[in-house]
Amino acid sequence: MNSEDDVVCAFCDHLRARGCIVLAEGGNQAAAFRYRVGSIIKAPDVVAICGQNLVVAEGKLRARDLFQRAVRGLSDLDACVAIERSSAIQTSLRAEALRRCRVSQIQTRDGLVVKTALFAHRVDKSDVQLAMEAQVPLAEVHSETTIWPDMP
Amino acid sequence: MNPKFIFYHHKNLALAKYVAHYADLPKTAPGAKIEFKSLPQQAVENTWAELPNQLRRLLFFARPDLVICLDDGVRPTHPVFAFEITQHVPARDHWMQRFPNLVGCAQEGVPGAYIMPFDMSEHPSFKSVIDPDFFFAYDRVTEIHQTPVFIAEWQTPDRRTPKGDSKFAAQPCSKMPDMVRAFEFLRTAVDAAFHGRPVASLMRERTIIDLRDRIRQRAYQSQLPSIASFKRLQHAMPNNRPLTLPELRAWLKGKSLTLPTNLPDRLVRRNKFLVFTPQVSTRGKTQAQLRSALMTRIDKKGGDPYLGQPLAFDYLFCRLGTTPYERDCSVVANLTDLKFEDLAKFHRKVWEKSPLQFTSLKKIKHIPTYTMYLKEGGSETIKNFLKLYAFTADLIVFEDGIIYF
Repeated sequence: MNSEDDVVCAFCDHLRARGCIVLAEGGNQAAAFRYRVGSIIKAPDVVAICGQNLVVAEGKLRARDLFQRAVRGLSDLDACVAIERSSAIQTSLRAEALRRCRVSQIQTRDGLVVKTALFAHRVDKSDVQLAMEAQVPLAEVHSETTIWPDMP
Repeated sequence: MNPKFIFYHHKNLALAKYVAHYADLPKTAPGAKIEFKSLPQQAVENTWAELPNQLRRLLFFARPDLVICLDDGVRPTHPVFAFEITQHVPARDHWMQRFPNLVGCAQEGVPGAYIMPFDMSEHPSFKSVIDPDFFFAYDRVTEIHQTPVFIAEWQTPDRRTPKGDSKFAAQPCSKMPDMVRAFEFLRTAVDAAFHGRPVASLMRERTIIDLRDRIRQRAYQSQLPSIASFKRLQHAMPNNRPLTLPELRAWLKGKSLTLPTNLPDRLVRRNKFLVFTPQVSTRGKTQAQLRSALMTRIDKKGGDPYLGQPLAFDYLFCRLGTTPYERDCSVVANLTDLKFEDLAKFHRKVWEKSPLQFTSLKKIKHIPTYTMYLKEGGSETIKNFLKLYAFTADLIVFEDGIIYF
């Protein structure tokens, strides 16, 4: 895997293989699932319905980059934490997911629960430690993807 | 050797895999294999110079989301089809912004499909409906380059949400009528390329004529585009027509500028000048603020929304043939908010990085980049804004002088 795009696609292939419905998948997703954290507008790399959960995930080639704050001060981990803490963001993400499923005639269940996750190709022990401390699942993406802890 | 299709994508592997899944190319080209590759993010990367030659030419203006190339083991690897996809409705500034993406394809004789929503009139933050001039511009591109481009509708049943696919929900529903047509068009184009048929022959096929008619239905449903309907043109041409040479001289005189005496003959003979002004809302802003605003756009935002506009106006009002020299009306870029040195700093950067400055072979770090510079100079690596304006304009007018091409 050479790029974030490769990692996003591998992660999404893994989710699809587990029966998830991937609604946003990196790339040209500027208009999809946008949400605001303070003055910053974010769009998640991946949004997927996995059973009862709406998984909102951020990915990078190297896991350590998930914890790096960009110029404007928000890391991917910060974005996940912001989603977990904000019921308003969760409501808007849930509403968009349901709307997209409705127009696409995809069956969904009521009462989706928003869960955040991180994923990367190169993961060190220190990355796992950081993710554990923040209680956000971190997936290590290979051809055979493994996930800590069990992703929904 | 089995033929191979290489899907070059621009940060959109998901689209590449979706197209590969539904295009079913091995059926069109038996035994063919598919490979996915990411396009280099910038032309200054070494991998840029290693791309197939025709693909590099296609990418001269901009990068479509996906370009499918064919390697049949006999001919050089060459592009056969391109996809451009967006979840935004092409309202005016937006379509002009992305206009160069498929023009580069048409210029290289590579057919393409542009997939987008037509109606987002209920969108909470970007309410927009499609601009008919967009279809007119693409009809001109198709006509001038004799290369078909299909504009496919990504349906929005609730007028705000694009309809997703059942397997790849983030991508357009593959069963929508226009996506079925787009994939059929792709297979037709690939079949022609696989069997060595010229692209122009596609223009006589019923499927392609039907696609063209669908574009024309939208392009010609209202009045044809006119100068008066674009503020950025009307600004210097209030009479809803291009300026004559004396009028251009008078307009320049008002800016304390004089037309160079040795202007190329073709410009003098045309006697028609379409003047494009990027920043027209100047009220309450000082010259320094306008200069700073435009430089920020060029430096930090890739020149958007102004990047593709001169090229779009060229096709709407000026262009007659496949090269920018084949026009009956000259394109003038009014960059009088900037000084010559503002843009010159960008080509200085290219010059400073050019491997042509070295005379020792040991100092040449990457031979393909060096040989690309030998053949093309810095034309592929120069900043997009400069590249596009230099390609399109006959004259660029700065605050302190004029350059011509």
